[in-house]
Amino acid sequence: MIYFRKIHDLKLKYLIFFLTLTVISLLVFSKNVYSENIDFDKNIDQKKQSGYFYLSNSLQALQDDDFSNPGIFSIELGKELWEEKDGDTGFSCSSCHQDAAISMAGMAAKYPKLDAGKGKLVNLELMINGMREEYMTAKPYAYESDEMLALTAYLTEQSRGYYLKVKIDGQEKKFFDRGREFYFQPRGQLDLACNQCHDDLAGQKLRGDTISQAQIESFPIYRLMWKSTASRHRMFAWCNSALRAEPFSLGSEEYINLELYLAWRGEGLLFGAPGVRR
Amino acid sequence: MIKCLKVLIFTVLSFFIINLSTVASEENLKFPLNNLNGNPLRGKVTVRNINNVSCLICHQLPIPDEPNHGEIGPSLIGIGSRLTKEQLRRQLIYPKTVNAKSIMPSYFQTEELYRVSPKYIGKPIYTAQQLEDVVAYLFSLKEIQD
Repeated sequence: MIYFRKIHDLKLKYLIFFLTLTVISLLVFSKNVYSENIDFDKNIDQKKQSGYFYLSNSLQALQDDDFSNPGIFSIELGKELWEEKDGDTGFSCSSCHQDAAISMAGMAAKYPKLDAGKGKLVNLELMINGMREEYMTAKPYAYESDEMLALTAYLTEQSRGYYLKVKIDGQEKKFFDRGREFYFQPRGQLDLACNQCHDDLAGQKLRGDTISQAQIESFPIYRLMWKSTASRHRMFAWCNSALRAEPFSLGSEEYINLELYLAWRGEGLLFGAPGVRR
Repeated sequence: MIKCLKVLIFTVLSFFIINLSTVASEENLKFPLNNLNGNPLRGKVTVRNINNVSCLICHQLPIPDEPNHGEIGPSLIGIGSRLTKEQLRRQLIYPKTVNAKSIMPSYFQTEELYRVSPKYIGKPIYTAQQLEDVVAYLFSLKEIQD
């Protein structure tokens, strides 16, 4: 500003003034474009729908029937594992937690959750492995192993009929923000962000498939395409690879943060697995 | 002061230069990439390849023996009567310059992408020849007059 007063040439003064104005207006304009993107996640509040809603009638029937839903086998295995003693201490889950139907009721619907001791966000899978290592001195399960899928399915079953509800304020906020950022970040050779399909185009046909809202309340799911039960993270990695983007590893921080964002986004949906998906 | 001025002038000039360069590269779209000849029959084979980001994932095409055409983008039936070759090329290479809100990927862009899988880094979805073939195929789809 001091320099500005020293300039005596009036034309030059005007020139500098207008140039500064242009630069400032350009900056402000670009900021507006950015904030427009952030508002997208309001769209989803209009009507939240489970992936179940987008299934064909026959697949809905398959999910609803506990005798033919192929995911039920995971729950049965999970029930056995709950009682199985493992590790040096010779404890099973039930040694401390007793009857899962009572001690675990509604628990899984609150994950991912902050592990206050470690200052880390953990999902159901990481919590199970943490317990196994710390209290049972047993080996952790591999992320996508039959055992891990079985235990998460069994625990999720104990929350059937509860509403998805996660905490996103306080220490959880930074993880939530990173999860949201992930969701809106275009990625891969196809340069697409999650929201561009799952917020804006849910219900429309992508080749033979109907795009869902990417709700995660029915996981682990039984996926017909894979002929197996599958975790949320396996689905994230599959979707990333479909965009020709490099996926993150299952159980990675990035995917747990995304899980928290998606759980918040699906709040109010009835919790319960196993869903059946194509 | 002069330093200040220089910075300002540089900023403004660079804006102009960036704009000019995009205009220049878009003008080239009047001509085929690398002067390659597009073959509509080969183009039809290319768009049907479901493993390579097929148009059919999102658009309808006049290929009745393909099941389940996508419904996300506009139908491409008769597109050759509505767009010129230059416009088709632009749509395939710079879809977001035609419509900023378009979610269509660029079939020929390899830069300014995030976390591309190592297998595809530096590679466009279509080669220049494939792109010209697809342009030729789409241009051959004329609206039928009654």
